[in-house]
Amino acid sequence: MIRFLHTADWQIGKPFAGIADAHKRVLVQQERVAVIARIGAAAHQYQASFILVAGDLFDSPTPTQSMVSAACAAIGKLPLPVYVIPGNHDHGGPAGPWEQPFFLKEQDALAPNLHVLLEPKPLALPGTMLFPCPLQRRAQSEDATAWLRDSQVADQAGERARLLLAHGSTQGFGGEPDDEESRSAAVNRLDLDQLDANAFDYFALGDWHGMKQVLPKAWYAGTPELDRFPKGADQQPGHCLAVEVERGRDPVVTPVPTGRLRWLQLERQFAEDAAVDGLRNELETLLQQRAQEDLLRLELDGTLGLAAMGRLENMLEQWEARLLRLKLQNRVQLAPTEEELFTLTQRLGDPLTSRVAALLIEQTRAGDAASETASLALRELYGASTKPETTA
Amino acid sequence: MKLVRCTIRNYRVHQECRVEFDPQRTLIGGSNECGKSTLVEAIHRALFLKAKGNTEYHRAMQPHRGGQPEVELQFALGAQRYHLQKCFGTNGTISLVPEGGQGLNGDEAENALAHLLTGADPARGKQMLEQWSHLWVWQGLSGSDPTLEASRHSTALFQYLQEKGGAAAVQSGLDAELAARFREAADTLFRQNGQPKTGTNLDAAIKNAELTAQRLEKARQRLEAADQHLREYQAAEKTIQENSRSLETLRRQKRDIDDRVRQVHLARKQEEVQQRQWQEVAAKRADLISQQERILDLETRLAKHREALEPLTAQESRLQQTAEEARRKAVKIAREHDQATQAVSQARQHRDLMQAVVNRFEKHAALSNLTEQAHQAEKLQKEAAELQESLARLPEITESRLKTLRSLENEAATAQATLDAMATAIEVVASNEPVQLEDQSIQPGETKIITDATELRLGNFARIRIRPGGGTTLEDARRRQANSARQFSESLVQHGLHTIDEAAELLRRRQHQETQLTALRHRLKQERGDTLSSRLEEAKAAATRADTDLQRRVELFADLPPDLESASQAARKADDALTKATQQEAKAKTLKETESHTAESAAERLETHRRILAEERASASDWQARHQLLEEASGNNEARLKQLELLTESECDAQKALEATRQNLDKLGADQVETDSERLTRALIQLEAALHEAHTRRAVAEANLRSNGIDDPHADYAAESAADTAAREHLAVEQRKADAIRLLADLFSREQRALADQFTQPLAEAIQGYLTCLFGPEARANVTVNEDAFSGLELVRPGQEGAAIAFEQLSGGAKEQVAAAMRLAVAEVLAAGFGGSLPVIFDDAFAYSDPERVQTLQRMLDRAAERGLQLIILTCNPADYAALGARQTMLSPPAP
Repeated sequence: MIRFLHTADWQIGKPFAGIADAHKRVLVQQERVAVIARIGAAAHQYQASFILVAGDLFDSPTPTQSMVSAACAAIGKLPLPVYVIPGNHDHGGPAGPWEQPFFLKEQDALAPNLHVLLEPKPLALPGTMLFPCPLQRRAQSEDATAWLRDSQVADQAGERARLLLAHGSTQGFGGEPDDEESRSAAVNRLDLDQLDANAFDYFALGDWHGMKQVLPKAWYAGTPELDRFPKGADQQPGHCLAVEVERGRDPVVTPVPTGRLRWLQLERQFAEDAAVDGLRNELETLLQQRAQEDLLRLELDGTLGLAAMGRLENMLEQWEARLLRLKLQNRVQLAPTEEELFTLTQRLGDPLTSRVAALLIEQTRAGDAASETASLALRELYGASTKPETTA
Repeated sequence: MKLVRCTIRNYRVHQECRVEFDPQRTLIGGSNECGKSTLVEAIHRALFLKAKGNTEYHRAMQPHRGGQPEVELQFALGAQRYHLQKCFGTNGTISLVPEGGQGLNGDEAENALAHLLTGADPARGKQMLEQWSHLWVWQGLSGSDPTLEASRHSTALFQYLQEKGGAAAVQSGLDAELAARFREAADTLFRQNGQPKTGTNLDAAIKNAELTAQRLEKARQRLEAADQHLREYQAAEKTIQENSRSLETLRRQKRDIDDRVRQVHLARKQEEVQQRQWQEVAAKRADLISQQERILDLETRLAKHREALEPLTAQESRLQQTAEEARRKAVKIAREHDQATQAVSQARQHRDLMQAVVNRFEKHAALSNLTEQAHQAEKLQKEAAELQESLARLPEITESRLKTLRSLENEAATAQATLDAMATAIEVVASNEPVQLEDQSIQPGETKIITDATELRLGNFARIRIRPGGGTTLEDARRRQANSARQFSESLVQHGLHTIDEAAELLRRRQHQETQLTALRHRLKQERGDTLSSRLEEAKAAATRADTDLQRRVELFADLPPDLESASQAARKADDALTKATQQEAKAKTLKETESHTAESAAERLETHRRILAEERASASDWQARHQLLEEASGNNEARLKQLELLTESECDAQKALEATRQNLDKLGADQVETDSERLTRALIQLEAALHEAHTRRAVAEANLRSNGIDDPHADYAAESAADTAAREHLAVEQRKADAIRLLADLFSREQRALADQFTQPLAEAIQGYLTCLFGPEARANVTVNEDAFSGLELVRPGQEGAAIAFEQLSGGAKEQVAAAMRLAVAEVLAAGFGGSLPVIFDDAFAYSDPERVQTLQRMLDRAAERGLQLIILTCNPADYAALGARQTMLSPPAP
């Protein structure tokens, strides 16, 4: 029986460009290197003989020297071999990172335990044989596992446990485009049905960032540290897999949590102005006293009065400072209350202000781009007319 | 309010001046400096300057002739009349008495007056000047913007206008504040052209968005370049794989083709060898055939030559015979000729002998003749020699010499005669003393002839020099005589003569002898005596020779003629014989030559024939040799024929082998195979070059793909993309914020304007009423109200399609007129607060207006009067306003 750790999609060097604050961006980036130590701890805990990284160790085919050094240093600190295949992000070939001189130098100097499997060639290890299926390009149309369709290839392993290591999508599962990328689904497909299921003992897959068992012996480990807001609750990212294999037996797979940063999501629809205060309470409960450990996607909808809209904005400003990222989709419509409308338009002593307010309210109802401007203008006017001492 | 009457005293130029005002139209005329403006000023000071005071205004009104400035004014406010009297100065007084009411004095009166006129406390300082400035059109200020003055009364105006405008409300303080705030905010954000101002958030956001777009584009290009390098790498890689496969195939094809090429080469070589063999055999055969033909030909020729030789040989013997005969005959004839020649020789010898005998005789006769002649000549020569000798002994006197002698004699005689004539005889007659002539002593009685200068000494007594002939002449004569005598005697001596006669005799004898000698010599010459000896010698020699010759010939002939005659006869005979012999010899010679020629011709013909024959034989022999040679070389005819048969067979075999090889070449596709080989070689070269080039491209692309590791283009692109999105979002927010502010500012401005328009409408209508009097029915004015001030007075004239002209851009005249219209309108509006009337004073207010316009102005002024205003016009040209129908007052110039 062999124990090892299956992980993938470390995506080291991911820019997180959506985070405007440079400091916060660095914190999120650094976490992707920091998780390696946690994976090492898991390997120790589960007495793994080696670690398999099923592609996308780097986020980019052209990582910077500093990223390469950081990754190599972190890997080098692990007391066991790490076997890596190129994924679509860090594909093989001259355009990829693996042949760059500075990588080879750092690998040699810092991470002698790091083994990059650039060719589809069996690698015999004590008790197991690895069948790596590296990607040579970002978008590869041919199936990287195609070379294993010949059952004689797998039979070279004899009685060793046979581990297939591949990166790509299977039957609709795969790395879906995140915020910054998009990809055609026709590439990097792994057609595992074409392989003899009995010829292999475990399929260590990468690309899908959630943890997922796609076949009895085929698992996506998912990313060990979240790098996007997950879609759906069943994704379970932020894990690696501790695996026990033996030739001819089903693998025993244990998910091990490794993620630290929280990627939260919240959707709210405002029906009344008091809901703003409800949201405040909810967020306070969710985040408590934490700062710069969470990322939040907040989707707001509905309508708010002029004053409530102002309160919401002030509140969001405060939360934005505390969060590593506040990804806000604010579709809240301005709907002045009766009182506000009265305050604005029924000012007998200020005929000019009343007329302007009436015109703006009319414009906000047009529902076009100009209405947004009018809405903002109305809020300005409301603010100015109720607090004339502050400037516009 | 209307002015009724005014009296001023001690006010600058005026001592006392009183003016009554018409309730509607008053025209005050007067020349320049008669105090029209002073009058107007005095009324204004009475109304608005406190009486008590020592301000610059108080000081300025001090009279020229002393006294305290004083103004007395009566005016009506509605139905109420007032009497106002002010004495200005430090201790100034005021009295305001309403008709039928309680009079007021001091500050009470001042305050009451101020409230009456302005509704406020009295103005202080400069503000005083601004009171009722809309009604007081001071001289020189008629063209100033009347909105400024109107604004001073905005409160009252607004109040009235609001009343007139019905529901229209005036903007509140908050309205004004908000409008100003948003306008200010918008002006801070935007330029007049609507573009955002530098330094604003919006401007920064735009610039930032532009910057991020540029950076994104750069990042995109970098990524694109990397992708391009990768595509190039992959393309090169693909080319390398494809070309490598193609290269393998081509090389295989090339090997096959090269095998066939080798086969073709071998076959070609074989073909070449076979071709050569075939050609050689064919050549041999052809050679043999031609040889055969040549032998046959030779044989034919040889037969021909042999045939030709036979007659030639026969002819040769004939010719030989003929030649022999001719030769023999020629020899015989030659012998006969020799005999004839010999006969001639003998005849000649004989004749020569005879001639020698004759000659001998002749020579001897000539010799004896010459010997005789020689004797004669010897005698003559002897005579001549004697004569010559005799002549030689005679002195050699010639005619000329004799003549010379004679002349010398004459000359000597002459000289002697001369001398004789000069000689002096000295004779000593007696003397006691010895007389010595020179060295000779002359004894007394002795005579001495002296011819020269001679010293005669008489003892020691006297020495006397005697010079005959007077000296020199004597000497010369003596010398000439001596010379002539000497010459004459010398000539005689020279010729061995003694006298001249002897010389004459001698000459005669010489001449005679010489004549004789000449005759002798002539005879000798005639006798050829000079050559005689030589001729004699010759004759002797000839005789000797004739002797010798004869002697020699005698040996041949015994008989000789005894004498000359027989000899001559014999000689003639011999001569004839010789002639005969000679003729015979000549005949024989001719014959001999003929025969000799015949013999030579025959020999020659024989020789020629023999040569031809020899040639013919040589030729035949040559052909024979050739024939023999050929036969030796190629054997005899039979052998040759056999050989020919063999060769024909070989040729046929060779040809067949060649054909077979060629068929094989065709089968190998020789031509095509070489073309194919070339094609494949070419293709290989090109493919290898392409492969090499692809390797280079791959290497280049690979080098380009090598990351420097300093930055991550993919991460950069993601970052720039996000930054760009953020920048655009931020820009949209800023834009919306700015747009909102601008929207607010614009809305406030628009609504403010709408409100103001509603507000100013009655005023605008009032102005329009006056303007139509001036510029026609469509003329109108625009005035805007901003906050609490009027501004933006504009004139819209008919025919200008509503285009407004700002007040400041109007001409001087138009400014005056539009300003007047506005003032009248404001006065009309404000008059409501003053009992429906207000005075409006125009002090020389239309200085820039032309006379024609002044005429139309009167219509406007009249309209003002009709609408309740009190018009007071001051002018130095009252005639200009004649049509106004005003009450006219003329001010007199102040007393000097």
